[in-house]
Amino acid sequence: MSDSRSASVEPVVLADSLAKHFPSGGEVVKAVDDVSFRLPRGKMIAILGASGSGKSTLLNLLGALDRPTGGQLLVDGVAVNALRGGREVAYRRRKVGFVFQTFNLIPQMSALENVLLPMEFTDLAPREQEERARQLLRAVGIGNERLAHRPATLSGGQQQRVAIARAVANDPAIVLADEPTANLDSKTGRKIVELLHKLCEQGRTVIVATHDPAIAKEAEVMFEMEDGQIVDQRGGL
Amino acid sequence: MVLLIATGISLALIMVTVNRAIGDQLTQIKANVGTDVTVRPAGSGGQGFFVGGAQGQPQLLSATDVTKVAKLPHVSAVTQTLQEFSVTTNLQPAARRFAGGQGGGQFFRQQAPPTTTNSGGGTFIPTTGTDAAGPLQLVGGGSASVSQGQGFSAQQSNANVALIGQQLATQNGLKVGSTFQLQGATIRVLGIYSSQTLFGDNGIYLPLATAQRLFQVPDQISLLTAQVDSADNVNGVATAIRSTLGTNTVDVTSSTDVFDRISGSLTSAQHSSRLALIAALVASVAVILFATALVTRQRVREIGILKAVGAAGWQVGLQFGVETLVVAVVAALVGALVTFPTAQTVANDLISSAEAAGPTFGGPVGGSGATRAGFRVGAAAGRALGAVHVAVTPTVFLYAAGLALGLALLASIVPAWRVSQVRPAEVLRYE
Repeated sequence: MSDSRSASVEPVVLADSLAKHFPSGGEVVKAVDDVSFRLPRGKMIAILGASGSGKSTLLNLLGALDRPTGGQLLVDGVAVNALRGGREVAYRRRKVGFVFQTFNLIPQMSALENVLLPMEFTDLAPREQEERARQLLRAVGIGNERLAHRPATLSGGQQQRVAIARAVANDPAIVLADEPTANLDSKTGRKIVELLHKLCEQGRTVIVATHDPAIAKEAEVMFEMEDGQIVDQRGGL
Repeated sequence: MVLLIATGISLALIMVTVNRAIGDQLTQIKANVGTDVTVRPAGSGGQGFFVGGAQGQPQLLSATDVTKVAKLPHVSAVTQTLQEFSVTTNLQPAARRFAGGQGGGQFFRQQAPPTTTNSGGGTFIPTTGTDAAGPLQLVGGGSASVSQGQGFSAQQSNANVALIGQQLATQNGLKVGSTFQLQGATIRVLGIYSSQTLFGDNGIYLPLATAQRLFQVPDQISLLTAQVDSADNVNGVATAIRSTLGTNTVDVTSSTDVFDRISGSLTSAQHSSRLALIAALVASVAVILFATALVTRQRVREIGILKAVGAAGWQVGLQFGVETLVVAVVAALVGALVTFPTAQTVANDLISSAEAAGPTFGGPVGGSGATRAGFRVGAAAGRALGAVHVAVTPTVFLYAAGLALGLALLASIVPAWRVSQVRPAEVLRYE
């Protein structure tokens, strides 16, 4: 994480009437319903809300894991709502990194291999990939003695550190973290939040979906979601 | 997963191997049956010509009939035969049980009295006049070669010479050069043949013209065999003969008829194996799809993660496809190892079932119903019928390899396609 991206107030995310509706049991579920916002680059943004409020769906839209059913979404200059096929894959590969609540590491792979995984889909030479992966793991506090360990032999905090290293492997502008501390004790959670802050200091925008008001309080920008809509906002552009 | 796919593939391989083996066996039987069409007077049923005629009149084919048949399209050659079972002779039959009865159709069914003449005044010694070259075609089926002396030469086509069976010769103390009485004429033994069967060796063979002269039926025969130029034309020639000579006049038996009759069990087994092959293929596909779907389902989160970190659908699909292909190829090898030792048992069971369902082979010997010509080819083919050997020939191997590869590809393409369609948000949504 030697990247020295500078933080600025330039908007990195622009959402205009963004919507994600889908049919379920004969009804239309409005997971994200006509939301508009602008997010600054290099800040930590918290999306607060109860389970089912639409915060995870919003993260999926931002990460192009899902496609919006309406509205416009511009992320770091890319019209995400119009992405299809290879451009959608390239966007996920280059622009965003994911940190999940349950870490979502590949269980058959070692810590090092998990971090190497996103880089395998790039043109980076294998030797450079490994050097970068080791550097990233060191930066999140995973020493050499743990590199060959599989996820099952690591603690929850260590797994989430590996997941954070994996998320920034391809040097994305945005890191999307969905409940990154929900499966961790408070002390470990605290350290993970500190790591996420470090990412912001390097110029990355970190968007955290959480139901924990304590994390939300630390964010520079905070949205509160309810029934797919933004019901409260602090900070932002 | 390997076990499941191996089971599926081995099911299909067993059936394709068995089906192929039975098919090869049928082809072999067909080749043994040949391309002959036999023609005999209507109702003669293969008995001697003096036995079956109305009002005691002999039932024979004329030289005109022979000419008509010889001129038919696709008939490459004809051979003529005159057969009689009850003859006037000073010879003793080769065995006491041949000494009684009234004709060839009855010699199996009673205890024969110790006499050399039957109730009609003749002696039961099958006597055949023939113009056929090559091995002697035996009345009861099979063929024999001259073991002592020599066969007929072209100059002996109307000479008082004969070939006699080994048993008949021994019974009567005859050697090459000996003479005996037949139909009032003195006949010289030109050669002795051996067929390794008692019935076959109780016979006399004469040149056709000699037989016609001795039995006072000039230019007439009791059996005509037309050789057809191709197996594909056998049925056509048989129909043409019936049409030319009249169905009321002659009985026509083609090798195809014989093939159908004697190969019934195998044909039935082949049909069963074909149905079983289709069922096995369906079952294999179902098992493979189930196995791969199970694995895909188990690894769906991994698929979602790979896509979330930047893998394209085709990259994930390719990875899963290759992994599954390797597993499927291993499974195919395991399946093949299981298949080939088991296939013989399956083939035997199928044939046993088909035979139990209804006897279709052969017919009465020398009597009404099946012709002796049919019996002759039937005997040869019947030996083949009893033994379907499931062998891993190159052809069978190629069939099996092709099938296994097809199933392996199916086992890999389906999950690969399915994986490429997975939306990461759907599989990562519920954590």
